[in-house]
Amino acid sequence: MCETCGCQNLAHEHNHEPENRIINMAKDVMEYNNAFAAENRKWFAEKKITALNLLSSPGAGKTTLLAATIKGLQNILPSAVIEGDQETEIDAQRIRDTGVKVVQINTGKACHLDAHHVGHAAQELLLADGSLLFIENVGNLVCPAAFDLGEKKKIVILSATEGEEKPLKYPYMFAAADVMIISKIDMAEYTDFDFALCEGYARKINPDLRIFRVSAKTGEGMASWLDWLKQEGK
Amino acid sequence: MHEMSLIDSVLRSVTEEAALKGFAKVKTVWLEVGKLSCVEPEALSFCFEALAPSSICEGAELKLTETAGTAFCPACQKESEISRYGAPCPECGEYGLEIKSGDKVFIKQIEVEDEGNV
Repeated sequence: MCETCGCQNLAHEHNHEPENRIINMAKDVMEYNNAFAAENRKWFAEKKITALNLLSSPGAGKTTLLAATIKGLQNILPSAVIEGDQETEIDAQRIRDTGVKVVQINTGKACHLDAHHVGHAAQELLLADGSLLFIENVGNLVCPAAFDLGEKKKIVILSATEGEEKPLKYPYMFAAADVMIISKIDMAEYTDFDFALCEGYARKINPDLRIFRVSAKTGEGMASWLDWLKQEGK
Repeated sequence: MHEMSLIDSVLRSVTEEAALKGFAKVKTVWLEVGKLSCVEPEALSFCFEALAPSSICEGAELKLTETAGTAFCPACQKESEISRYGAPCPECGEYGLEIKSGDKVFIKQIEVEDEGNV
């Protein structure tokens, strides 16, 4: 290829009067985000921070589960939270009430957190070494799947008040996740939620998925979820 | 609508590249959109039209080509073309395929205008 103008003809004259040129780029569009994600991952490793990216549709109970989780880890693991929402400080305040450090990111027009957002927020938190960092993404089962934040694991939360077929409808998210939590299991008897069906769909998309069934309200299933977190945070 | 962020990232990369090579204007941007990339080509075009006017790509044309998705099936050890994420293996019907290509969006080439400032 011609280095001057990128054309395929090496023999032509290079007097280059005003004309159009082609530049080959072959650049991954996600590279910009991924570079920040790699920086975050490196920084988390240096500080022995375990970062977990929490993903779900709006209303799946992420914040309620998170508040109960933080309570369950009190005096065991230092935790902190990055809250992502399009607007408001409401979720940050709910988490702040549990006594842990929290930074709210309002994404405005964006439908997801990106690694650049998260890098700044994580610095702002002044995290203690060895902390567990929960990143509560914007409620959305589509876009956040595409953005690596530098986290160790992606955790997708699906509530028993949603449809069992969500993993098939949003395969990118369930394929990207390491863990699936079925939340609000105390509601399952009212919604006739079929656990085996839902988990079967999820494992079709992602055979390695780790699954927990949890109710933050009654505490059912919380113990094994907390045990898993203690292992991850070691 | 993460297509907005993707176009923002495209414009950033294109601006950097053009500046590096000493060009002040971009005429055409070619993007290669993988069929498994979770990106809607129409939404990309829409976002490009919205964001390009305030960038080096003002008035530029966005040309999209779609590339096929390929995946490897651990069950039957075959590589096949698939048209959607999470699809079963077309050969043996098993799920849990490993995506090999077509899950990304690439800026393939740009056409820049030589304004004699090189």
